[in-house]
Amino acid sequence: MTVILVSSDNQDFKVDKEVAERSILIKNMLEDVGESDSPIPLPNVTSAVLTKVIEYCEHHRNDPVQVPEETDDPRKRSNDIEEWDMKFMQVDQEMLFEIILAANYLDIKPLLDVGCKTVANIIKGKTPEEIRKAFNIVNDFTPEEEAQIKKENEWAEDR
Amino acid sequence: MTTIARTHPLDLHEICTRIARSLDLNDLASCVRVCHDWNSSFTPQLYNSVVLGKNSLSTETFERNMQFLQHLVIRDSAYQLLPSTLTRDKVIFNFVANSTLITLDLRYNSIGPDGAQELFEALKINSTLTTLILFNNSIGLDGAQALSEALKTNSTLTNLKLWSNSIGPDGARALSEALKTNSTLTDLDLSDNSIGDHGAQALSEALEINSTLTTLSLNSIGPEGTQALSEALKINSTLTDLNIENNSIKDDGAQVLSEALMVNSTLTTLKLRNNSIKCIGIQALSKALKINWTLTTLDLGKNPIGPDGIQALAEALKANSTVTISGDVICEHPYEQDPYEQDAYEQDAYEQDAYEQDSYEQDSYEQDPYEQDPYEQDPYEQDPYEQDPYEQDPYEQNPYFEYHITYVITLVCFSPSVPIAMDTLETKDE
Repeated sequence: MTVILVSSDNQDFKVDKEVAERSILIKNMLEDVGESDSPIPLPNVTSAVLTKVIEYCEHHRNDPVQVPEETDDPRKRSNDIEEWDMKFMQVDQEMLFEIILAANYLDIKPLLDVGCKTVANIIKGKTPEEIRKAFNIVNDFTPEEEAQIKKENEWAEDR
Repeated sequence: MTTIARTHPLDLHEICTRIARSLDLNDLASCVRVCHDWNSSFTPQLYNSVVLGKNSLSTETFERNMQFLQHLVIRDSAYQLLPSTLTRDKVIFNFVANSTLITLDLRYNSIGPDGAQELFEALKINSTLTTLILFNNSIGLDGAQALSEALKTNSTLTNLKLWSNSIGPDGARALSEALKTNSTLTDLDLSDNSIGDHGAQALSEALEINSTLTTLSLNSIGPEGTQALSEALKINSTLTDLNIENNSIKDDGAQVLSEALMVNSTLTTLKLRNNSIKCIGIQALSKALKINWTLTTLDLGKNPIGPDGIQALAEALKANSTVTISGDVICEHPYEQDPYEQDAYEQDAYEQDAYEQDSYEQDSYEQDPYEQDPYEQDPYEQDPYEQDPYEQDPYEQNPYFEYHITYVITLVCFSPSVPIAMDTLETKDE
């Protein structure tokens, strides 16, 4: 059985139901509507992003449903990304953030997770200035503010 | 054509939290320094879980970010570094009385009875804290009494670790009083508090009434304390984990516990490591295991149970398929020199006769096991728990512990080489 997804720029994507249901949002929608051929509009996702998301879901169509994650000691969780996902995430930053937003909106937890880990890996080990460079961010702190914030948070550094 | 609303992913709490989860504290500290937006996104993440070590954090910063704080660890005596006793206690009071803290870990801080008073006073007001870790803080009897008062009012704390706090028998008695009315605490660790038999008796009384506690750890109790505990276990139907490692409950204690096990049908884990239980005690336990089918984990490590004990356990295991018996029952110094590290499992245990060549050869039974017992000489000097009970748990690191007894029993029961093995054992035993 296939489902038709419509991107924000009005392109139709015909995908297997099983693939579409990787998105909990779509899964719930389909359950609510029951058997129906009507296309599902996704006004928050452009065709470029939807293409990527579908590619991800196709690849992971047979993955077991994710077990609820432990929240106890979040920082001990591994930062590993499997090889295919790593390659999949080699996109420009704008696309990376679009994928994360789409995964969040469509409720595809594993994709959201991979996206966030990718961002985290870019941040890891960098100084604030390096982070600004990596994400093209303008420093809007005054030198005084910056010194203040640095001082306040020294406790968290070097461990 | 609709355009996407340009939300930055970091503005979404869900996304920011996920990214933060994969970052270390120093990365988060860099993130808050990037720009205003990042500062507001990552500050709650940075202050969600605060670990205070040597680099202290100013009281003002702390108070300003208190609303984000859920997990606080103050370790390595960092508590001592806070400016003055007065400020220190005030700060602690504020931390605990604030409304978001879920975990407070103050291990190894020598808080002492006065600091403890302040802390437990705040605990009466607090309604979020679920875990309080106070390993090694010498809160003493006064601290225990204050805690007892707090526990009568507090209704959120579920997990209380009081390992090594010199509360003594009277401290245990005070806490027992609280346990009679408290109905939230599920996990209580009172190990290494010299509570003695009297303390154990008081706790046992409480256990007969309390119906929320599921995990209890005690030591410094002897046969009398064990007797009281056993009586309580016959009545209590909530406790699932009982840890009485490193006591000297001996055969008598094991016998009374066995009687309780014949009646009790809630206890699933019983840890009796290092309790000088010999063959007679083991035989009694084995008998109980033929009847009790609720117990799933029985740790008998470091007990001189001897070959007859093993035989008895093997018999019991034929009748009981629920329980897993763990513990290195033969090796004398499991922490220092695991014989399996070099022997049987490295090569093939079955290929060569493992029993001829390994641990039995240098076995503790030849010399007097108690003469050299490291616990006897100085129990805490060498205790691996001293270093960090959660990070270096020897059980975690030694996958062979569980194998050992299973392996022995398998051999005794099924291996064709049983007679040889048993002969070896018996010779050594003489």
